[in-house]
Amino acid sequence: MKVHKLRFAWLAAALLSGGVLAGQAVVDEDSMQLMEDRNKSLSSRIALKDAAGAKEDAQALAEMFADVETYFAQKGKGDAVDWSKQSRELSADISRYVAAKDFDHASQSAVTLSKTCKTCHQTYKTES
Amino acid sequence: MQNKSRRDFLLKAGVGLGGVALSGFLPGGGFFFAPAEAATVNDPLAPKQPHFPAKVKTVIWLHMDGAPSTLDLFDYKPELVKRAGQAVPAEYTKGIKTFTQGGVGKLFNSEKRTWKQYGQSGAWFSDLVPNLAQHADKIAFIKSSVTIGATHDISILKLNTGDVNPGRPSLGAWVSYALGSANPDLPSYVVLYNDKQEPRAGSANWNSGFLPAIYQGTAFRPGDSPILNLTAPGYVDATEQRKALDLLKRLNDQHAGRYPEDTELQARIRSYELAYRMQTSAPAAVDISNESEATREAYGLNDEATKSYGTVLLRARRLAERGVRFIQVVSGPAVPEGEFRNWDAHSKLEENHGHNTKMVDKPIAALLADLKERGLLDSTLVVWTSEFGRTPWGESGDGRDHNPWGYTQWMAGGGVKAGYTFGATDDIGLQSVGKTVDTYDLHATVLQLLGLDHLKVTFLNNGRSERPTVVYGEVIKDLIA
Repeated sequence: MKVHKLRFAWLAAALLSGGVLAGQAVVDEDSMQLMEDRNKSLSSRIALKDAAGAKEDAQALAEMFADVETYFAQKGKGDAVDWSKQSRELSADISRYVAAKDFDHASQSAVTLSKTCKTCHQTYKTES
Repeated sequence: MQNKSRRDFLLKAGVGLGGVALSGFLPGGGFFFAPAEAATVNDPLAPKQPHFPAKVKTVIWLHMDGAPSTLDLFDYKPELVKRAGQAVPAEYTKGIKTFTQGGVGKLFNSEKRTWKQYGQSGAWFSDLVPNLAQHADKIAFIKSSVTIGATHDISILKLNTGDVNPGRPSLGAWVSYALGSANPDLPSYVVLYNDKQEPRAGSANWNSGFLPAIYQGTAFRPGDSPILNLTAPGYVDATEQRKALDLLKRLNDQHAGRYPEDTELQARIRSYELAYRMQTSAPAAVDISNESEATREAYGLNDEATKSYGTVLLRARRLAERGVRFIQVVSGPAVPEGEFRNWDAHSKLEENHGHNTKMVDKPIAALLADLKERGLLDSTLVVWTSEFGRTPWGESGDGRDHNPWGYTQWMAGGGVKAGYTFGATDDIGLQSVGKTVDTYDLHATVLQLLGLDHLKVTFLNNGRSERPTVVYGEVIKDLIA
């Protein structure tokens, strides 16, 4: 089964009238693949007790989830906004856990994060 | 490698056992370390301590090949019975993509099906599994199983490895890697099947993926000679073989002394000796000739319908007794030369499942009773599993299609909350409702019962720490006593 993966990228669209620059959030396959790779890297780095590397991954994921949250908010998909928000918060939790060298809790949170991603994909896998 | 030519010579010179048996006794590869791992381990099969006290020592993993309709075995749905013949209400198919050829059919129920509650637990069993029903209070059901995929090969791979992409180790390989061997004379991970040919998709479902090859499953064929080419050729007598092996060992030991870092060679030396010991131990482990008549009868060895599957389950019990860590049993054809080669009942479900349940019901019940009687059930985990379930709607008039969205699996044995049911499907048995159990959750739970934290069973592959549950996995604590 092909699971359609989401990707987030900001497409800056310059609105010439009034000199206003507006951002349109776009989600597509490539950047969701990027998030998946980051997530795998995060799990690995937590297991290896690489606090700095894990923190870097978690922070990058938190930023990506913030963008995904914006994207779904623009589309009015409340459940996906909630999942994105939950994922962003989990990523932030993981950053704190690894900073405190609490890798057990970081591992658990990373599993919850992966499951949250999957839950969202089950509903939005066919969205483009 | 420096000693390659010498090693090649030794392989060729290893008369009978070395050159022939060794190369064949593990399907799909050798018994040696991959070079990348060889430098990091000394005795890869040495027993290892679990992370915490284990509830069980052995897992018997019963894979029902082809995917049974658990709607016709354990998951009683009065609403399905009531609505049989009607179209599937749209609210039930929300969120799923169906693939049934010709479209989703009408809800289907076999008029022959009857249901009854058994034991203190009051678990429902259909008329197809009367013997298993007698063990209701030993079983913990998982009725909210889910997986990915709509094809057998992909979902069987996921069932066994936790992922749909080839190349990851099977659960048995992880167990072997994490715990080592409890019996130096037998493989720690054995695969059994009651067919003339290897199960569907073959060794991909018991391989070691990126783990060293030594952890892969060893397929025991049906029949008296369970491992291909294990028996020495008739022209090599025992003394001659022993002398050849002793000479080989002396030469190898001398060479290993000069290259202490060459753990690949050390592993090879060990594997020669293991193969030699297995010439005796493996046939003895599966030799059921000394089993009592009562045991043979219980497992159904006196009935053609149950004989082949009963034999492999009896062998499974014998392997469990001998400390084999993980025994993977794949169900074979219920009618050897007939059309019901597995549980895949896209049509004629009643006939298909009639034959298949006849094949497995009595032997599995006997296995549970036998393990209990011998005091082994407390240290053994029996897992009844399949790649997915089947749909509540009909296909081809009297069959059911694949259902990865909601189906039943069960566990019995040590540490299991016996008589308990976890999760549920919706009123027609199509989708799981509430908390679901994916393959990696089942794996995490099995590992937990073996005393292993799935998050801490790790292996460094290409710089990345890998684990059995990929990036997922949740122990289903409600299933654990």
